[in-house]
Amino acid sequence: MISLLATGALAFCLQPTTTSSGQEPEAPQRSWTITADWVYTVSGDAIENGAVTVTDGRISAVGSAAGEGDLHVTAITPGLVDLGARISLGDDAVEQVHESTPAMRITDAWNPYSTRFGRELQSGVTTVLMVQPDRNVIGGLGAAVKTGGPLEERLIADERVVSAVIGSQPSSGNSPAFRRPNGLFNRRPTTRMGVEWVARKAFYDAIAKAEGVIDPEPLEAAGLDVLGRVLNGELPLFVAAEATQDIRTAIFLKEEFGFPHLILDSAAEAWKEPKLLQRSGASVVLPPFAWSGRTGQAGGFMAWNTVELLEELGVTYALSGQGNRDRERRLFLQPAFAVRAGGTPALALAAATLTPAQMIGIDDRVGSIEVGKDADLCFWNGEPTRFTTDVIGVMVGGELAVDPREASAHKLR
Amino acid sequence: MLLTQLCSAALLGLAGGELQPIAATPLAGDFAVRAQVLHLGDGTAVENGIVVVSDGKIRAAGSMDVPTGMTVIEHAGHVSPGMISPWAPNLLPGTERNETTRPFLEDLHLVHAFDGSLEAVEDALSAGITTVQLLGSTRNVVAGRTAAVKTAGHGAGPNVLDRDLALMVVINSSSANNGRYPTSYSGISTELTQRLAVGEGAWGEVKSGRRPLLIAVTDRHDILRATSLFAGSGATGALAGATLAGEVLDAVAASGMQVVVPPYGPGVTSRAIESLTAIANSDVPFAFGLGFPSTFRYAAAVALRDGADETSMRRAFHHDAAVILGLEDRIGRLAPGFDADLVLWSGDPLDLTSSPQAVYVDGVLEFEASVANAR
Repeated sequence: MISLLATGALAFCLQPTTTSSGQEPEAPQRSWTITADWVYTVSGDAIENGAVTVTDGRISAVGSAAGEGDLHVTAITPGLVDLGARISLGDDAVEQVHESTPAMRITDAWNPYSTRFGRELQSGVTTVLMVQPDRNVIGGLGAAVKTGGPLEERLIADERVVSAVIGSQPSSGNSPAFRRPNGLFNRRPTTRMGVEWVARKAFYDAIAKAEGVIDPEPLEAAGLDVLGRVLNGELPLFVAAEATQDIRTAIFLKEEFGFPHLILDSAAEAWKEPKLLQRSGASVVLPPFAWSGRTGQAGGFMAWNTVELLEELGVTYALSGQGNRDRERRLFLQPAFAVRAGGTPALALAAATLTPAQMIGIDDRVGSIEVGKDADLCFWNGEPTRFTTDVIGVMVGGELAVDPREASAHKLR
Repeated sequence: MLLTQLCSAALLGLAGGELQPIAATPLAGDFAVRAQVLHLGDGTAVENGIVVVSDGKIRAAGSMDVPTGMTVIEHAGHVSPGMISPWAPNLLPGTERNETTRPFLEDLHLVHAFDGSLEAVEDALSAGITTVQLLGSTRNVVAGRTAAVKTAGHGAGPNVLDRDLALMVVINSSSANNGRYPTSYSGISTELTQRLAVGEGAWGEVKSGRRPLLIAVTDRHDILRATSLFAGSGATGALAGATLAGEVLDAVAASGMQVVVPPYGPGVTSRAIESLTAIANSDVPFAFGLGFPSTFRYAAAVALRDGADETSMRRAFHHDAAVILGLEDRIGRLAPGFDADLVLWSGDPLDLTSSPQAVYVDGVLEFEASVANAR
């Protein structure tokens, strides 16, 4: 039998581009000293009159400012990390031959030239998690990538999560097999019950395969092996679950199969099941706050005091802009919303930087301002958790993606 | 690549016109053409050059005296080898191109769908295109085995140069999302990786470099996906159909693959043309895809205006296209032993106001503008 896992390492081996005239572009500056009224390291205390030194794309020193640097801004935070950015090639990125395809890699369906990366970058997001769109119950392997910088350095880590969806999305558009011509969409599930059944069967099959009870075809076998890595705690299950009943279902799956790491993405109604959430040990990614409370992909209702409640319960949370086209709903504003509704500024800022990086195990590279980490920085014209503050500059891997010295920087889309 | 360079070096010697015609009694039907400018197909040209045709093959070409007793066609214009396109989807009937039964068709021979009497074939011939590669549908992931055919000379069945040429693979959005597996890029990559690893049938020949790939791509990320998928596998071939291939030239060059530029006409974006210019000014061999025969030379003319290298542009229509087909020893140049596929132009082929006045395939006059216009 062929091991698909052994042969499927298809992560892009990205090459740098040249200009169309064939001339090598001048190498951008990747070493800097940036001073700021405040440096929010996130991993430690904020530093007043601080400085961050960047050498060849990495942070080489953090401390008090001594003299003038190359740049001065009001505030520096780590580059923002969005686990819910939802950047993909749409239907081309999800293998719908089956409703559960855990072995499929999002890196095989990655368009690094998507303008949506640039859009996130312009408003301070330097790292995103890419997962499959919500057509499958279990979509496949997700990867963490940068939104800017040299192409060959964009992949931070492949295989960080197994993505899944619990809700009505994977069943919408499917039709029962009777009275229809045969086709791909005569498939399960057609209801939330079916979604739950597909997810549960997949995990049972994974156990059965591990115990040698079943011997499936190579493609399915590879997928069950991937689910085995969820069961043994190597990979988190990253589940989009907005409505209360979907959050419940996801938690029940975690408890039934005993897998250690569950991340509830787009968990708008997490606040409705506080005790269950606390008991489960799951962490959550919140969709962007909305004036009406209706948010996320399926219009879940998120109370304004959700963050306050999660902090009281000790539930780990991250914030997301969900790749919103509208700048007013992107990640950089979410900590301000969270603080306004009762969140702690330090935790709210961490929820857009270090916390999501820790959730998917990439905090050795990004998420805080520490010596040795990638020089992914976000520059602000005021206190980051205030409404009146805007992102005015962005650095990725030591390269200035948005120059804070340019007056129009904060007018960017 | 090395082979290509060696060929080019050999061709440079040819361009000097030092060739001597073979002294022999001309056969009936043998002839010579004297042109104001004779394009040899390797990008070079000879003024007042002569090409001698005998028994359907070129006997000599360059600056020389016409062999005694031979009929000479005096042409007050340019003469080039017949043009070649390694990407000619429209030359198979639309209804016969798309085998929808399954998406992986390693053993499908596209030549069986060819009909030489098709109007599209005649149109290609009248535009000066004498050899094309037949393509399968881009809605399948493995679309079949391509064939190289001529656009004329189908008297006793199709005039086929190679009926079992490249394995056509489609790595773009159109081969997914057709209501069957695979519906995604991830599925395409997973499946192709497995087939390559197993190496059965045509894939074994691909891995050993004996059978080239013709990879249909659209976006730049398709090129990155294709080149990384086949990197280190031993596969050779061409990437066809990507408008912006010139923007990822490093990845293309590192893969050792050639490029087939998709067909352009009026309205093409300047970014596409800049991409073509970048390819033309690099070492990557390239050729042109065939859409409408009447606009086959359009992109070349626009890229020349954009600063593309003229020699490499001229070579793309002939020798480099033949290299992509693996037929560089038989077509694409005016050199002894090559097929006598000739186009007699009213002016410079890279001038869009020029048109073919006569086209010879295998030494036979197959198209004459004066006759066609009189119809």
